[in-house]
Amino acid sequence: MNKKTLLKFFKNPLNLIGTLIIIMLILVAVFAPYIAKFDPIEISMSDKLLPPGSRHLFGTDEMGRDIFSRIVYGARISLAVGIEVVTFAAVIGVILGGISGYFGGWIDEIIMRITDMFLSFPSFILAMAVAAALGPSLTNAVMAVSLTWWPWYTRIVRGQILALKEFEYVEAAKAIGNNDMKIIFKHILPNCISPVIVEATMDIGFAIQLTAGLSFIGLGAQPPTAEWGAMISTGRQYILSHWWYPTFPGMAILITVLGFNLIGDGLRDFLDPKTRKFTER
Amino acid sequence: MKKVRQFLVLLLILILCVSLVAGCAQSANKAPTNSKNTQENQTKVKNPDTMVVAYNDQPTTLDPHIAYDPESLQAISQVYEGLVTYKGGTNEVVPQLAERWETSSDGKVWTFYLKKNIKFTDGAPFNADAVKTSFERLLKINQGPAWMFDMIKSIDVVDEYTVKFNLEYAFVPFIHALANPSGPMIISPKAIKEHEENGDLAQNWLRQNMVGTGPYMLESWNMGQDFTLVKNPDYWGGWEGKHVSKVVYKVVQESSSQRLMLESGDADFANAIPRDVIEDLSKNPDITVQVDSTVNLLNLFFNNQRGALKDKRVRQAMAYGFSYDDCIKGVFNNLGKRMQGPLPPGMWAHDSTIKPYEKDVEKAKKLLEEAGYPGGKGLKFTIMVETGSEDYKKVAELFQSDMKELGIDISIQVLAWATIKDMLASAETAPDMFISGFYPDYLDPDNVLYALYSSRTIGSINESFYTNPQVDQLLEEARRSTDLAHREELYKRAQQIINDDCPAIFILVRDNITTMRSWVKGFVFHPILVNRYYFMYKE
Amino acid sequence: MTTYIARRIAMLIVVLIGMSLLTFIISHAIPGDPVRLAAGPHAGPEQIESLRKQLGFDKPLPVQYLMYISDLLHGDMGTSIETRKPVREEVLTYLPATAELSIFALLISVAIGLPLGVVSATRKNTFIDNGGRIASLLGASTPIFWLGLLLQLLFYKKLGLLPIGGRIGIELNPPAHITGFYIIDSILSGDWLALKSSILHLILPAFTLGYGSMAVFTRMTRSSILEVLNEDYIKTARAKGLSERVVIYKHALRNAILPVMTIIGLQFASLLGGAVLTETVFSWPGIGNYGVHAIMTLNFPAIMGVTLITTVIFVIVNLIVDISYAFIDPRIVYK
Repeated sequence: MNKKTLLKFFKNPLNLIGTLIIIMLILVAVFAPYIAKFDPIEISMSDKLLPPGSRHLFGTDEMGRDIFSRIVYGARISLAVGIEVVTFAAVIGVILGGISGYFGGWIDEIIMRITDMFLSFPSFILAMAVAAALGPSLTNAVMAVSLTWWPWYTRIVRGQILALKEFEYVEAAKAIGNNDMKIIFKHILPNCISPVIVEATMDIGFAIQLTAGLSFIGLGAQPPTAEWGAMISTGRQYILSHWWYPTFPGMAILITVLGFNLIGDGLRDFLDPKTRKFTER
Repeated sequence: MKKVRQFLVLLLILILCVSLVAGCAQSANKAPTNSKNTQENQTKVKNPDTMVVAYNDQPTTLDPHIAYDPESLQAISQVYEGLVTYKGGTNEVVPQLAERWETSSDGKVWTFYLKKNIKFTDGAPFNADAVKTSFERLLKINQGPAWMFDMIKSIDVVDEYTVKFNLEYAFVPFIHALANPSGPMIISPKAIKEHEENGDLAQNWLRQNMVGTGPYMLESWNMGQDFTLVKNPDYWGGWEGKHVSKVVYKVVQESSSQRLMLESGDADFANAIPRDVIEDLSKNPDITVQVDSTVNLLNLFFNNQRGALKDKRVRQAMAYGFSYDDCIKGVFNNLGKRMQGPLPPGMWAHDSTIKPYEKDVEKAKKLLEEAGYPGGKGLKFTIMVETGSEDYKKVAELFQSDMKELGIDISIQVLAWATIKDMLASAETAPDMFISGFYPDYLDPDNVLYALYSSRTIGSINESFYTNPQVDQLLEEARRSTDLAHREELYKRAQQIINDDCPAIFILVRDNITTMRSWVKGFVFHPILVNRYYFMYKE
Repeated sequence: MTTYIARRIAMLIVVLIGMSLLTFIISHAIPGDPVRLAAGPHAGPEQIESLRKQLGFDKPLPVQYLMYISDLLHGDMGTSIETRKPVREEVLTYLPATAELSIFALLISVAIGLPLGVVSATRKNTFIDNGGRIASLLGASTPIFWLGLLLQLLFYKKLGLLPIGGRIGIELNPPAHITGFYIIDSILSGDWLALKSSILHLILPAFTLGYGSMAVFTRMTRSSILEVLNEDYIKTARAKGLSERVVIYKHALRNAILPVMTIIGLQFASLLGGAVLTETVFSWPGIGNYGVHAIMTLNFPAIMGVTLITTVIFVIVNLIVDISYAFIDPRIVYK
């Protein structure tokens, strides 16, 4: 990954824009206290449901809280949620995929069957059921979504390992007498990491959407937490009379997920040798 | 460069589109004068013979002896009838299927003289036998509303049109219990007998079928979509005058959808339009927004047997810390009245001399200090709110912010009502506190005070686990006394004690808001009864 | 080939068993006692216990699971706690609505996504290409419920062109019930009014639901075709003098379709999940709606029913897609 490849990557304006969006998101999340003018959970009943204006950029909600501040702080939550989900999913996936791919045999069969079992559920339905079982809270929603996501990583890692297993350096390492664990960690896993990271980056957007969806039906963030999905959920009954309420959080989700998707797309195009030729034109 | 330019153009188009849609939304705030729909329908009544009700949920069962939820009652109240009912918008009990009634001097025997020549929609005659069969069925199944009638010892058929109820004890409010819309409905005994399956008293069949004496009959129920009732041509009340001949319930869950349907005239009633939107809606001349007082209470119940909450001063402190005005004005848009003690102010025997708790932060802090929690030190609670209730959520958030001022840490948990109800089975598993709405079944203080504050009902409806032997005694005595003045006195004493004990924060009595099309006539609100469309028409 | 099919079906059964176990564990892990809810707010302990026995919830968990499985094999999914109706009956009542919606959504997304993908690929890097890519990217990033609300606002309130929700106009009766699919039923019974109304009611929800998938199809088709266009046989076809049109539609497309087909199965999954949100916004009486309500009321036989049905459908759809894929492309070697 050198400077030249980076420049080539950013030659496509879509990639550039995606990256800019993500950078902006991170900055907003980190500097939230400085960007938001109001406390996101401060109630002020006399100011409720005000339209966007000079004092409240995006208006206020039904408890008089400033929507702009809530969206800004919500960036923290969404970013955290996205990263947590893919991290959990990736960790589980890498471990299981690693074991499965390396040891093969009946361990592989069992893990693969379990993976198939989880994959046989439509992801949102499974996440919904698990989140309902665990109880409504943002933490539980994150766990629920992670539980539906790990199978993909397991498959990726396993596929990589199956390919790598045959390589000579593994045979050599074995011949020298390195034990299995050492081989896995020192030789094989490092080579699996990069496709996982690429996949994870692209998945952050989906993780955010799924969690927002769960919050929308009430299984995620609890009041008064300023999470975007929960804000749309409360705001949807006001769409005809106070349009700003659900609109702005919706746009926040849209732009954020768009950013991740743009980068993800760009990465995918860029890293796939077959399509790279085309982006070079 | 070309690519960047293209992208910018596309971005511009996107922004324009979004502003267009946002603009649509904004102009929707103003009266829809240039919308095609409204112009056409401003004078012409849509579906003149049919009342279309947009409801955000559907009935769970059509069996009047089991149903206890408002959605089911919506349907049941149009098809089934009881011996008595409430008159118009009052708490006066008037005859319905019974002509008149009398009570024995000891108050334990109630005799009803029934109206004659009434038939059920399956042809079976309405008579004393039918009454006996229905009530025995209600008591045997023993679910939902049956508890209100557990004092019935036996029922005697004196002759074809006379029936006697023998009660375990004198229960003055019995006639009110018979007027309430859940439970004491008369089902055709022929239907019960004919559709009996394995001793289930026809529960399976009556879940989806209805055979009553009322003005309407069930035509169809498309699960999850709609529910249609048509005119019962042989209804004993007759069809002279103006009545709608058909009632259609449409299940519409999104409140914004309900609003649009109401505005376009595709719905005559909509039940789930949020309060904040009401003001906007009332500017529309085609829509009538009617506000009425009810007896529906909103309480914030404490778990009176949990830790620091056992101390009356802690509870009182929180009652002094709550922003009642903000709540009524901000959350309920002034559509409700402050409670004064545990009984709704409109109810008979309400003690108007009770001093309600007002927000007084200094007093609250002092009480906390006295109780040993200066600055709220160490006080941490979780308040439960049921899913699907925006109002309760807002009240909880307000409460949370108020308690922060006192130094008390409150966190909010939104859970399915079933979960909360399950936790309420015992004081150990119950939540620290939760928000609860209470909807009296009939207009007597017994129905409120005995249910909520007697030790006998702990584990079922006394959800604050409050016990006070003095109150218990007062309530038991009042239940059985036949002297109205005496009862009133007992209830007043009980209210004073309960108010002082502060087992809950008595927040407000909510107003009911009915949003309907202006062409609906004949609507009269009743705090207990469900809308009966037979008395309404459209023009 | 037959061994492949047999193997897949065997795997299907194993997966289904594991899945039912998983669902059973999940829905029983949900805290709270739904029997209490069903008995009503004033129920005393004896009332609740009698109801519990009546519904069979008093036996130990493993026994309940075995009872459930044996019932399932007889087609019985238990009784809904809220309404006392058999869950199977309720699920079957609501299923056709969701199926009709999902299929329509899939059709729309394929009908628009595929051609858009082809055009995008053939006019690469032009305005149409980039425009299409952005539109489809937006589609993948837009929250469904938000999109649904905006569409309702535009097409119902502002333009008055399409209905706001439900499956059919209130002034009409649903067509005679044959399949439960309003479109098919109205055609079969010659009820043209119902047909028109049903189609109008389907447009917005199906579009909302399918918009995300449209994005995926466009992208897949585009990259698949780009890949294929680079193959030797395409160069040969061009060298032979065949018109570009024939090259694309007759040769490239047929081969490019294959990877897209594998996606169809996955997309169906996201459609089933997305149906939950769409059905809420449009008051669509399907199992998504039913499932959310079941979760809110802790009606776990219903929750299990919904999860099982959606998953079974998903698994079967995937099986069909995989098998057809094997038929179409005999080059695929299966172990």
